[in-house]
Amino acid sequence: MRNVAPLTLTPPWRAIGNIVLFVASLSIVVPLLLVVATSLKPPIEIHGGLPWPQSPTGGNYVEVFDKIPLGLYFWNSAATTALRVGGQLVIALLAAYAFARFEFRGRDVLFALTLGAMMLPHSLTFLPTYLMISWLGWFDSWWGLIVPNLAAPVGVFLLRQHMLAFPRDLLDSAAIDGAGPWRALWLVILPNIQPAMAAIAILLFIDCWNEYFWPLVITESEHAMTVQIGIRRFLDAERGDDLGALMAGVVLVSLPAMAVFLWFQRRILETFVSAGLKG
Amino acid sequence: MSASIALPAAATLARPRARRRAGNLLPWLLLSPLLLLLAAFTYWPLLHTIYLSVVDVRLFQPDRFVGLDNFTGLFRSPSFAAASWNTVIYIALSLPLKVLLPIPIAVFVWCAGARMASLHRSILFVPTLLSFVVVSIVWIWMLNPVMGMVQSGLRPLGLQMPALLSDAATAIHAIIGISAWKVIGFNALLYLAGLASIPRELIESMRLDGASDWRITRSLLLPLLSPTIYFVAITSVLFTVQQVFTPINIMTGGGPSNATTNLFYLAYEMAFESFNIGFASATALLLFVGLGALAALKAWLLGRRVHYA
Amino acid sequence: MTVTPITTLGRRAALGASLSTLALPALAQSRTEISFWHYQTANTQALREVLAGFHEAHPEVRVTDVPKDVGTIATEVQAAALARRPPDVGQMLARLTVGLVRNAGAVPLDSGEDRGAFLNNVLPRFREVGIVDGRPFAVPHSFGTPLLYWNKAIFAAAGLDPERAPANWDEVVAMGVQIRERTGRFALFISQGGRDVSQQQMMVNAGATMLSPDLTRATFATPGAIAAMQLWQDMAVTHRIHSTLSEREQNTLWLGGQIGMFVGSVASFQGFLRDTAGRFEFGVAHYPLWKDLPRRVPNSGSALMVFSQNAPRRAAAFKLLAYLMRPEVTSRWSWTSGYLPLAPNPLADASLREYLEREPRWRIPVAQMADTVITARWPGNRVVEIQIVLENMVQALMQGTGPASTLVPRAEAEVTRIIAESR
Repeated sequence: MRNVAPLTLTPPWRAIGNIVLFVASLSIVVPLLLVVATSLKPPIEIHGGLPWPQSPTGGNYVEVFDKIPLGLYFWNSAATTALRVGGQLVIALLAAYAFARFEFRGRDVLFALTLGAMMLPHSLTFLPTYLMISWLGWFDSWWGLIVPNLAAPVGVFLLRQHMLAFPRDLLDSAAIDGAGPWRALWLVILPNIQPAMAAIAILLFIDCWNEYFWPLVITESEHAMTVQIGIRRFLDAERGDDLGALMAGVVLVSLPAMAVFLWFQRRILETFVSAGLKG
Repeated sequence: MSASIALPAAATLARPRARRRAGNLLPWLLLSPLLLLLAAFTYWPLLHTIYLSVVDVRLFQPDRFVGLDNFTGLFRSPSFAAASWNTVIYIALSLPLKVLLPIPIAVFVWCAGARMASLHRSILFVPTLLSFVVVSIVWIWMLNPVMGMVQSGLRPLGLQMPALLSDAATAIHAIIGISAWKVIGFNALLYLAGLASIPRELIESMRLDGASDWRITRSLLLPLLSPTIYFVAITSVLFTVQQVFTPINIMTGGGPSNATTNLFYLAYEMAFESFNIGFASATALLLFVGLGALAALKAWLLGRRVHYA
Repeated sequence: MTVTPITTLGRRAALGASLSTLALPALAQSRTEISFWHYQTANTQALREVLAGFHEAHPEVRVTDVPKDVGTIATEVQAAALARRPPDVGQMLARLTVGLVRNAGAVPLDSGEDRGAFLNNVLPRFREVGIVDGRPFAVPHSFGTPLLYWNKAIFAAAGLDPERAPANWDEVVAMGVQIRERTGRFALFISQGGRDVSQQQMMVNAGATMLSPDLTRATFATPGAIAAMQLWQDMAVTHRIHSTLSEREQNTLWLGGQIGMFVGSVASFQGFLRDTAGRFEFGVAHYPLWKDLPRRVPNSGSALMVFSQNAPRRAAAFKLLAYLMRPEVTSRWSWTSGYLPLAPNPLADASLREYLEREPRWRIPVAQMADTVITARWPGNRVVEIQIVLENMVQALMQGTGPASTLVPRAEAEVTRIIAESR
């Protein structure tokens, strides 16, 4: 991004712009601050007057682990997300390489089918997938959460874009050195595509961590439920005096994605720009 | 392996855009996991849904072909009419919020000073990081008319907020608003990425010509953003109905009185609450056809107005 | 054919014999494992205490209990049966038993060794709910009856006698209006935990019968039932004494002492004792009468059904049921969970008599057992859809979409249509 604004707006628009942005930011920030504030309130203050706690306490953060097996849910989410995203990256990398670096019969059709899969809404596929997973005995298990989603067409698409834009001389020199396509992938492409992989990994991570519909369908016991299902069940069980703990749970469930974002902030936005979403 | 070394080197020199000719199996090997997964978990279920919509699945007995009975039974169900109508409303009202509203936001951020722009970009991305579960819980609590945060703010002023989520007239709008709240920031960032590539010189020369802000926007920014707008519009049409599943499930369960259900939610309910597999599959299929038609229509309408740089 | 030396054979045989003796103790210790799906989320602890007793009595069986949600358990059992992995024992809503027999492969309870002898431990009037086509497929387990709970503090604040609850629905409305006018609070919350329970209770109490005797038509749109549903609408729309907030929010408000009266099952009693302690004192009264009709409430409740398709597991499941139906077990379960006692002569049990001394409010539901009638059991394979029709009917009434005289007959026609189209 440039250091100076590319376009300076004339006065009425500038003021309007500032107001619009201010309102938009407020509408996002205020509810979230209220959530954090409530999570720090002791039980007496929960339904009391002021939005912020008079005597803040971390008690809710401890209590939420007593009310629901949040640790177990975190473990399920962390493990299934790590395995799933890892699998998605490997599979997408291999597929993107195949699409980008080779010519073979049917390549374009298969790529179109891959993109088509990205556009297919869940509604069409969830029921037979559920029946299939049940039949395989993977209902209510990590497998059921991981395997159906291992194909990540968006990852294939983005990685292929990056590979197509790869500087040719690097690859050609590898070829001249006698490296076959497989080794070219490992030695040349992989080291250089890491920023894009990292960005895609983050997006896939957020997608997986925040997923609700599929875990709702496929899990039924605590041993497989993810944090999103867990916190939703807490909402149902909550009786009004647990609001502080509920808000603490909400904060905890959101922390991983926030942390990951803060760490890799620039990278995500860069990848979007360079992947050429201009079309 | 040795034979293939000489060939690529020669090919590179001869044709700058040469790719490796694969008479071998390698690309297929590389693609096989993806293709297997897509076949098993995307395309086979697609076909299976079509099959399930025309049969009656019975326990301990083979499936029985029933033709269009599932569809006609579905049409007679009162929930279907409500769900269909609501689907149209969800899409129609979400589009301006999700496609158009982020445009001025993106432009304003783009024109803000560097530090402010960076701050705004981060804030705008936050709702994307939060899960829809979290967003639904937060807004349930915000909008509760007795004990919620908004009401706590209004009570000292002597006002009473309406029960937005329990009133059939307003519930769907509340959910549309909440889902827009979650998505607007992300779409604005997409537009921002599109704006980032516009060369300053172009703008400066237009300024020198005396162009007003509006003129610049209309003749320069919008056309250059049009591919992104197109993309956002198509994906909004296809995915809005699916995105609102979580708020519906958590906040209203499709009610009150079918006010917030839609065809995707109905398919889920038919499958996992009523356990009517035939109806669920028929609903899913109809939704797919409807969305496909809508997306194609939109693509055709907008496609003619997209400029590719 | 090789001739094996006898010595080698002998050694092999000896080895085999000694190995098998090693295996025998292992076999003796192997237990039959069965799964028990239930929706006792409020009373899981009490249920597990009962199961602990069962494990002591029957060490050769191990029961894994899986708590589920009352709204989805029927669907999940059907899905599981379709995927060939049904639970061995399931606690199902009693009014879905007919549908589940057809759609989930339920097993007749008199097909075990004891020919269903344990069924004699259940009050005959309650036993009827499990009989389908003349055979018993379900045994009652957790039966409740609807009661009126009232918040004494709110009554006092509204100028009403805190010790006197409304006796009939007209009084409910009158007192409710007074509560709203004097205290500004919502006066009533009719709990709708099971989709179609509360409206059935209200309509049957007003004289209607839900189904025709041959189970082919819905028959609940009688003038009395329509008037009762109209009253419900008036409470929400005209008098504004019944909130339209979600079940979850209203529960929170009731427990927080913000609603005057709660109409719901006796099953909530134990939970209320825990959750309202220190906040407010509540009274327990009979389900309000409708005009001058005698009280007639369908019993709401669950029944246990067996779905195992595998003989050893089925035998183990029958053992579990026999244990659960022992009079001392049902009596103890009753007063620890709040459900009605099921044994033919419950007061014979000392622990139950003792409990009634300690908790006199519980005499009300026990006395109301005499006023219960069997709950309507929806036939066919689309039982949940039928429940949803009734659920939507009440939601539409509360939203004021139309008068009861339109909505109730329409729902009746819809249910009849679904039954006709069902298998």
